[in-house]
Amino acid sequence: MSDEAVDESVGPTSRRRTLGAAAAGVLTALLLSLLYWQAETVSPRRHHTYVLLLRELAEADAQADAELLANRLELSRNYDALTAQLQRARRLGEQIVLLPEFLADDDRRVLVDAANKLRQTLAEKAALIDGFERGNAVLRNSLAYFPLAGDELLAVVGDAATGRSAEHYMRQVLAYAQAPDREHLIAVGRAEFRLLMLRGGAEERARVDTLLRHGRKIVTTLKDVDRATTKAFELQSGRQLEVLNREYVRGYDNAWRRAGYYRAALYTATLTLTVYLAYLFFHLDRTRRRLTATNRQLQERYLAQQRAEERLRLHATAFDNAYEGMTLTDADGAILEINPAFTRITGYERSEVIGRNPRVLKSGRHDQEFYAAMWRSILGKGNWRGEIWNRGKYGDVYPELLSISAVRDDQGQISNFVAVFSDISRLKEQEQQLTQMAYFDALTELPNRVLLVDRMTLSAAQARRNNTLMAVCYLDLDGFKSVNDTWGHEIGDLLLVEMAARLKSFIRGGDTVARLGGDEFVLLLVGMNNVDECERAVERMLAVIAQPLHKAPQPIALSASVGMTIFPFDDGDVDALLRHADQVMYRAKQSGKNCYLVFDPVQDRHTRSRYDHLARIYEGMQADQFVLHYQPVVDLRRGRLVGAEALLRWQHPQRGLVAPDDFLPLTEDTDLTVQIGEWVIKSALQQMQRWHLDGHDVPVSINLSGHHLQTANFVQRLDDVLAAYPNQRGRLQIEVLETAAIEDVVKVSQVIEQCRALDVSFAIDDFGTGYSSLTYLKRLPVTTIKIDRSFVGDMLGDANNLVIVQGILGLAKAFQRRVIAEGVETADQGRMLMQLGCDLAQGFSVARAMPGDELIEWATKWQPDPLWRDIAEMRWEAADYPIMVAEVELRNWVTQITYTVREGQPLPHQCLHDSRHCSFGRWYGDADALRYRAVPEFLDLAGHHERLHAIVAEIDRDMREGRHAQARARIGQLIGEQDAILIKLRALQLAVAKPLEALR
Amino acid sequence: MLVSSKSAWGGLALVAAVGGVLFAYWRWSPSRDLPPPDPVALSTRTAEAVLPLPPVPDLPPEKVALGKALFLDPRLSHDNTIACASCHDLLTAGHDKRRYSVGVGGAVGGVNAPSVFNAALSFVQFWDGRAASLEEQAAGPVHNPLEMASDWKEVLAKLNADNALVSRFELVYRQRPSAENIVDAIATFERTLLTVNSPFDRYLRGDEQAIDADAKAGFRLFKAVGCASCHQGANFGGNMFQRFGVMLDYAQGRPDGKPPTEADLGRFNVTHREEDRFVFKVPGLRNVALTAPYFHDGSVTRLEDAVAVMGKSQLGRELSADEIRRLVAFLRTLTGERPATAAP
Repeated sequence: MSDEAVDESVGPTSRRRTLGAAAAGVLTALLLSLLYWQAETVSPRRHHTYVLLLRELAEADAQADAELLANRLELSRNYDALTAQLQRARRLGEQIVLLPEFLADDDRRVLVDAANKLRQTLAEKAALIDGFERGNAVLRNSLAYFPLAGDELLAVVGDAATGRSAEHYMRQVLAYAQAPDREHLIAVGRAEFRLLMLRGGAEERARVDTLLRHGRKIVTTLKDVDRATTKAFELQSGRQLEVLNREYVRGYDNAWRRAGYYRAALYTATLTLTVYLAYLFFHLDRTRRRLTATNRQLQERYLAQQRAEERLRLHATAFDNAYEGMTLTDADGAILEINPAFTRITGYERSEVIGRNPRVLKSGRHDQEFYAAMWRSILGKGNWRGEIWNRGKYGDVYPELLSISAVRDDQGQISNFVAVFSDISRLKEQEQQLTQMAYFDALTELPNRVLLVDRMTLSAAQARRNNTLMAVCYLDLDGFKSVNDTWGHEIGDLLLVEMAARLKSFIRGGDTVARLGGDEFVLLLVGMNNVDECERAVERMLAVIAQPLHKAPQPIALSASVGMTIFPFDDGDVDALLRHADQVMYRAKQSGKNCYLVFDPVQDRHTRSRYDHLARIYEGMQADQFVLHYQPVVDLRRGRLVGAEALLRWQHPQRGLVAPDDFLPLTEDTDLTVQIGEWVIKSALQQMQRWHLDGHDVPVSINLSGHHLQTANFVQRLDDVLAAYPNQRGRLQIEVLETAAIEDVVKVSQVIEQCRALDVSFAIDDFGTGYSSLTYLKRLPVTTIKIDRSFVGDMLGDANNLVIVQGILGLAKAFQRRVIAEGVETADQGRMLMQLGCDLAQGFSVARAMPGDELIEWATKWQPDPLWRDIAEMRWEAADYPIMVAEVELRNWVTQITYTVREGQPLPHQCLHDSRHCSFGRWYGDADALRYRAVPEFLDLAGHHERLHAIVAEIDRDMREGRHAQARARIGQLIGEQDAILIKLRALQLAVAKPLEALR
Repeated sequence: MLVSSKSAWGGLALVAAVGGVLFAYWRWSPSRDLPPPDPVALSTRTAEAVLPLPPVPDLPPEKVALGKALFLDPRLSHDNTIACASCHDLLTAGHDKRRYSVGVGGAVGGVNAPSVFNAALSFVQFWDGRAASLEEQAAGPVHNPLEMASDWKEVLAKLNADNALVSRFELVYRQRPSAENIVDAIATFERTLLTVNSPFDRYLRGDEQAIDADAKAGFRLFKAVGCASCHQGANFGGNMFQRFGVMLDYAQGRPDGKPPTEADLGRFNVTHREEDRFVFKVPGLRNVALTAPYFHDGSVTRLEDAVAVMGKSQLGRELSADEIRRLVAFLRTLTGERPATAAP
């Protein structure tokens, strides 16, 4: 289950929950904020300010009262202070309605009412005091002036009564001023009345008026002032302030209590939240731990399941991809499952066979007994394995390698059968192909020599039994070489095929036509009754052959020369029959082609023929057709010419330059060989003399036959010849074949000893081919051994040869013989020889044999191969030779694989997959090799070698599964890896090499 | 996994850190002291009717300077012709020597303009006391069609266009000009306009030579005949209202015989109380010798005449010429020095 799927399945719920949690969080925060805010509403600062305000107001009010009283009692005669306090009270009064915000609405209403009432009272009080001030000023003035006015009156009063009245009035007024009560007021009224009743002059009258005016002013004003004062005090502003104060305190108390509730609520909420959080933490932690545990279990289960799935998948992969067809049936044999290979092999689709019995595949080629045996094996041993012919869906019958196993359940009852089979038609075909290759010519599909020999043996036996004749006709097309030269080999091959077909159509049943190679065919005609019949058949055949060929670019007719021998007149073995037929064919050719000759089994024919050959060879020699070519022998290490081998060539006017192998064997054991040998000695010495005159001295070895050496006066004659060339003393060497030398070891040894006196040394040629080298080597006093070219040439391809070369070298060293390797055709061979301690060599990689007058020039120009130069200053100990062997074995192995792959054959089972057990691997793992551990290249080898095996394993798999093209494509990779190993090996070799000086 | 214990601890640590910071802030933030109670005015209660001039208050010079600039600024009037100083000339005695001041477009007011000097000592402003403070007063003439005939909107638009002035406001008030800060500045300036060091003040401070014998006699007379009943305190008045014509019935005719005008109704115009008819603020007498013409209607130009009128109408007595001479001699000693801030 992926994460995405989890998200999707619980997405909406989870989103709702998240939203819910967020909303709850916000609500909680809001609630806490609200509680906090409500708890914090009662601001001490604001409270203090308001209380201060009230106190100040009370103080201002009280001060105003005090000032009022002071002014009323004349303790103060200015209103500055009073006014200031009143203004202060007014100003503060304006502020008292600005009640603190924390008050409850009910309290606020009460307080506002009280405050407004107080303000009103204060305003009234201010107005009263205003009135008081005015009145008091007037009263003060009138009281001050009143006695003065009285004095002014008395100054003009005439009679005493008036004066008394005036004085009385003045007293009464002043008394009233002291005690303004009703009694005194009445007294003032009476006194005023008395004064008004008086009569007097105008001035007196005016002064009385003034007095009265002031007196009345005093009375009225005093009344006003007193009333204002009384009223101001009666307003009881202080008491109202007290009320306000009390109400405020109550309101504050309420507010504080209310805030207290919120504080308590806040405390409770916080506590609850804390407990809830703690619970939540605990809960979450528990959930987390449980989840972790569950998760781990799930993880384990998931991994186990994954592993199981992996195994299942692997099984399914194996099942689906197996090259072999597989069938799974139930106990009754009904097919439960098949794999694709089944379909590929049988042609049946899965749907067509499920539920059916594999019997449908029966080809009918096997009898009841076969199947009965099969079931016996299955039910008895639990399995059966064998080749079986089955029939496919489309009727094709094919061989398969089938193995059937019974599967038993826990109770031991058979529950299923498993059949695995592979189509081995290809194997069968290959088998056939191999047969074809072994017995038939690939081009023309005619029997080859092997089959021919087989047939001849059979036919010969048959002929003898039936008392009939068997004609063996050796047929060679005339002028076929020019066809090849003109149109190329492809056309040539086409013509050969056409000719083969023609010959095939010509023969009767029981006859055989075979191709031996090139344009040579052999016809085996059986059931002949007489020679005539045979000859007629051959003539017919020549006629058939002579018909124009159509595969050529332009019509052409070929003729043939035929040699025929007839069994049992020619009663030789099969090889002899063929040889005889060949011989007469050769003669037919010489006698003008397009004809046939019949072998005459009379023996002198053969002798005469050999004599003819010898005669021609002699003639050739006499006609100066013989030349000596010289193949340089060089010191690979020093890169210089150390000698030359003189090689005989016959400059034949018709056949061109003929190699000695083509004619010398004929001269074996005849005197001609002695003559040729003497010619060679003389020619060589002449050439050496020429070189000497040119200022060069080249030791030359010549080849002499054993027969020549054993002639009676060989040494004497050699001495005679040598006498003519005193300069060449000690430079001539005689090579004798090992086989020749050991024919008469005693005699040859004598000759060698005698020749040594002439300063002529001996070499054993083709050393190693004589099987008993060791036995005779010690007895033959030769100075030089020449390793046979066959060992050298195959030295790098076959470790056995390498070991032989090593052995020869060891032998030579032991017997202190000089060694020359012959047939060094590649630089690698030269290198290997140097590493093994063989420094002298000759062969194509140095130079081919050349005319004598070219040798000197060649010698001056010749440069040794860089491979040789690189190791010129090194030497290897015998203990290190296994490295070289390992190299060769590796090459050999790779070459073998490469060859088989190219040929499309299955790989030979030579430790293909096990890098430790191939010969290279064995060397690598060997204790001796371990001493190279310090060399990095040695360690590198392991990886390359593993890869090499991996590649081979893949090639092997490809080959087994028929992917030849892919396998071939891997050869490049294989060679590359091999080369990499070779480079490392080479480096290892260089690393373990010792300096040359140490050897000397 | 809903909550890993790691993130839970992290959250807890975060909450603790925030809480710690908040607590530290609360704990070590500068405490906000409760406001101290206003200094309570010391009682000036004394049997002496008059008091020496209080010292010039120490007010912020920038604000005072700004107030002065505004005081001199004609842009406070509709047509930019009338400044406060037009009627309250700082170069005279803080008044305009006219009976009635001339406003925008030659409009003539209905009462005599009082001096701005020592106005700060008056408990209310205007003859009828309709302004409880200098600040209230300052707004009055701006809106009076007979005076500056403007309004705040117009004035503010003009003043706000003056960048230099605006920057001065921003320096003093940290805000652009407004009705509030304009009147505050003007009032502040006006509070510095006290005429200090008058001969009488020097006398009160003990300099017997500061005033002559007539003046001393006049002072005694001032108290004896009752002038000091109303003209008391530091400003020789200005701290109470009084009816003009205590001993005469003003309603029966003005002293000059003409019928009373609306302006003559005085405080009645403000309170509409019957007892406030013809009642005015008692003006302070400092600098009185320089502030003719006298009374709310500027009806008297000579101080001697004014003293006589006062004697008759307020004291109900005929003052003799000698008494008047002495009283006037005393009143002249109330002339103080021109306020320092009134200097041009």
